[in-house]
Amino acid sequence: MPNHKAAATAGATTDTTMAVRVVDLSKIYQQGTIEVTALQHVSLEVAAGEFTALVGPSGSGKTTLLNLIGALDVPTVGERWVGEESLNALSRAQLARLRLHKIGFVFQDYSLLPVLTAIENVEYVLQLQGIASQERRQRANAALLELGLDGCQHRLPTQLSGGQQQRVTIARAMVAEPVLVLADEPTANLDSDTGAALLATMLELNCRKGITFIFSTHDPMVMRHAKRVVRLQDGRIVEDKTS
Amino acid sequence: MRFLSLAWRNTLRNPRRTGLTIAAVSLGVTALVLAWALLDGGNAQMIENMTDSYTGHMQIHRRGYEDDPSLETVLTAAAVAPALMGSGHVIASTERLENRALISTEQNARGIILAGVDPEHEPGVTRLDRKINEGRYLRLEDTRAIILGQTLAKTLGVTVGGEVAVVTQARFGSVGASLYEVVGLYDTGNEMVDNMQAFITLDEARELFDVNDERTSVVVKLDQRDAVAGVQSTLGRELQDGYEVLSWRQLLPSVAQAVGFHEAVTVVILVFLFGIVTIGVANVVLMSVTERRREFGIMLSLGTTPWQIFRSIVYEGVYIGGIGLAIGVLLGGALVGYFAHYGIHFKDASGIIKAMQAETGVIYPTLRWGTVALMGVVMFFVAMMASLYPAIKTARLAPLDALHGLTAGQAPTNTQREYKSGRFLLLQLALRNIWRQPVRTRLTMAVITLSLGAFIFLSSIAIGYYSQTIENATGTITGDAQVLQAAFKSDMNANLAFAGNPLLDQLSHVPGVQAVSPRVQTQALIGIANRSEPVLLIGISPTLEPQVTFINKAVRQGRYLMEGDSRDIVIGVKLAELLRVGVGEKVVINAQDRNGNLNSEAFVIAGLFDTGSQGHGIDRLVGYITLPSAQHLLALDDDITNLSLRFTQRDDDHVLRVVQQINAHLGDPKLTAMSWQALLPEVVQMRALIKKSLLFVVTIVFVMVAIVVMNTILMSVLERTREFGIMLALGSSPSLVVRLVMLESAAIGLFATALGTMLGVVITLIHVTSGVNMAAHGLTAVPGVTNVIHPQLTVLGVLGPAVILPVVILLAALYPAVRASRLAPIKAMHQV
Repeated sequence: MPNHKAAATAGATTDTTMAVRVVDLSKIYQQGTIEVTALQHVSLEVAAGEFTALVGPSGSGKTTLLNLIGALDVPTVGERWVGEESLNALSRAQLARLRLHKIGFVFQDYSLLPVLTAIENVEYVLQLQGIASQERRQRANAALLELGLDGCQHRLPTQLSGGQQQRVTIARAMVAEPVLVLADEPTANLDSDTGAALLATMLELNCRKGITFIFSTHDPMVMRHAKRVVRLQDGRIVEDKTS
Repeated sequence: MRFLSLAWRNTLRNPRRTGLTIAAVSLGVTALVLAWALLDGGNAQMIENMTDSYTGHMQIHRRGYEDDPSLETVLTAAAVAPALMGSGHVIASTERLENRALISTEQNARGIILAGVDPEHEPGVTRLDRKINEGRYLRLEDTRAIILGQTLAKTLGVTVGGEVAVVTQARFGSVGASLYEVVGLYDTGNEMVDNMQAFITLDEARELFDVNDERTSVVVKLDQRDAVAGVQSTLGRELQDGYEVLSWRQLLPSVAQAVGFHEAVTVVILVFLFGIVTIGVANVVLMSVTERRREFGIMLSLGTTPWQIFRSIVYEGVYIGGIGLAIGVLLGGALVGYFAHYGIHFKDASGIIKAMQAETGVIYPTLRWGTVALMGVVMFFVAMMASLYPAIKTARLAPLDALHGLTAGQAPTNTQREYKSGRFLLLQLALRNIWRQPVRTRLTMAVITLSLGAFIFLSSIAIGYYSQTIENATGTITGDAQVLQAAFKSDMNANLAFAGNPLLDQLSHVPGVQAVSPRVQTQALIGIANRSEPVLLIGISPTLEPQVTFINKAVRQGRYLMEGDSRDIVIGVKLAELLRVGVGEKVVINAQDRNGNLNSEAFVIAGLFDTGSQGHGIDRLVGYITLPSAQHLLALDDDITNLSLRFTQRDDDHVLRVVQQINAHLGDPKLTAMSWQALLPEVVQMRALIKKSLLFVVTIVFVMVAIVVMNTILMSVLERTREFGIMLALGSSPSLVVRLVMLESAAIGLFATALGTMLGVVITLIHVTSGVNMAAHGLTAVPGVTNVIHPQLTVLGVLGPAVILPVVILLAALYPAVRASRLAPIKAMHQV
């Protein structure tokens, strides 16, 4: 169970420039009768505008940590803040609003809605924010153009290549102008050229718009460009290096 | 064997989904088993009661007797005995001598069928001897002894030890008359036997009817009812052309029609059920196949043949259907077992159920294993058929496409087709989701459309049916209300006449009363030289009566009565057919007058009316003469037996209000005003039964539609679990997910409801003018029931289900919608 008292104390000292802060975070999954510890007592602070890579072998807890930061999952123990919001204190609906307005997601398997076209997938989050149809259409189109997807706007995900789909995912994550983007192995399913282009886009958005990026990766090229690399092993942070 | 085992494991792969479908199939099968057993039980009771109380399983007559029962069409038992001896299934037989007669006491008279029976052999065929409530059954040595139904005895005002007079037409046109002592009263629960029959010994009948060794019928009982057809054909062959061998189906056509009607209802429910099962099983198999497409790709690339994959998928459908069937049969069987012991009580409609020849208002369901076996076979094929589409679809997969998760025939990723986007993204999302599985969506919509269309048509027939019945019954027999002495309703005794003329003017001024007509009514026997029939004889004023009833408009041959007619009668076409008489021919009426004397008068048929009534309806049971003729026949001077009234409106509230006002105006405490509802309880019971039946049908239809919709939406939600995870991860609120799912259901529901409503209205409109020709369906005891029903569309009949059904659909979709909204995003996204 989350420790609310600890959350209140930690929250009082939270730096206003801090994008993400997690304290003593643990996650234990129940698989049948067996308990699997995915994350053990992890504490981490990521400042606004940082470009942070989570690295480590498979099963080290990278994706679990991203899911907990992104309010997609609930920790077994520990506290989380995104900006000044303590996630443990929020209801399901409040968490949904937080994800909508502050966080952008890039999933490893793209996770586009299959019945919506590329532009509709990007528009979707803008519609959730209640933006008028004309404006959202313009912004979605601009986001797709920025990622080199001109001509693909009205195609369904099944009609796009893997790289194109991943770029649509990035456009969808960026279009609502979040303060934080969480990306799970964003280049894992891409060829090296497409991966490099995607990394360049992410770096450019980080520099130009000051968006905080936290991403998990196995890709050495991505790791090289990360300003901060946090290494996880067996659910614990074993190294935290800033270049 | 390997594929059987593989299919079984795949069935268990998603236990909740499989469980839900099995639950839907089981529920449907349970309902069907119970409904089927209930109808079978009702049918069996109805048949057994009728055959055991009078007709037996079969009868042998001289050829032509069934169409024209007469003492001239007779046989000798000795001539048919050898054929009966040779039949293995015959366990008993008895001889009878039957004829129409008028039975009377000082108090009352009734037309009946008088049967001479053999007290020794009759109990082997029928169980009348075990239905004696007072006194005793007939004995071989009895002289001048008679047994009657308790209802008839009450009408005649006679008890055990009392005396009755019987007048009949003997064999060669002479009149047979005799006095009998009532030795026993019976109560079979069979309205016909209790009201319109009486029994004497065979020897007495021979004497009364003036015959020797001849008999009108030989009644046969078999060891099992199902053997009737075989025995009938054997006896038909052995006996020569001069005889007719009739089964209970021919002897009791209304019962046979009722059985047919009940079986038709079962088939309708069966079709609904199999529709549900098809969609349920198809949904599950389709979804299970869709999510395993990659696995099929692997299987195909490893060398599995499309035929092996096809078989494996069909097995899955059969497993689900089979388990659902087994559970449904067990549950249904348990319920049938319970109700077979305690019975299902139909209190409000017990009168109508009795009228349908079932013994009581309690029905004991019976389960036939043949029925269960048939259902099992059909279910097996339905489940197999349901999985055919997904099986074929999967067997056609190309291995590489399947590995990449593509459907058979789906375009590869480089297709350049572009989709147009609109402003209403949520609506577009919902509509595109609906058409993701077009076959499933079409099937679901087809069930809703057909169910609603069929229900609207059925309810319009039912509304038309009872509206016409009420119109006919009040328009020919009762009017909207009558003023009479309360006891006259059941006794119909001329003693209960009163001076009605002073009331005529007084009642016509009561607000809400449109017209008043004086009447004289009595039960009489109408006949020609060698045959007679019971008749409700009504004396009317030819000028006043048309203001109350419309019998004048129903005259099809000859003419209606005129003032001054003194020896003219108008009868129904069916009665004329029975008597084999036509316009201009003479008939004799026997009726008991106010003083207890039996009077006979000859009348000439002036006209024949045809109201379209069926069975024992108005066209067969009623005759009209002028009021003075009736008053003369019954020695009533200027008195009348009742006043018939027409109101300005016929709705229940208005009738009740005006009847209360009339009762307040009546000075004589013996007189009372009775509404048509009180005068025709069978019609009221029939209306209530029809309304209840409609409610039962609509409940079944709506529950089944709800199951189909819930199943479809649930499957659709389950197969999109990952997408809901994505939506929630992107910040969609749980309420938006609920709205999206409800929007999909509403779109399916509203479109299908609109189609179903149109279908129902169009089918009804097609039949409004031509009408629907219905058989008797066992309601022949209800006055006014007609052959051709003109369906009636009412605003409530159309808009009621059209409004309620979408609400039911949305309620059914609520569970899957809420379920989708409560998904944890990350778990949902990891769902494959």
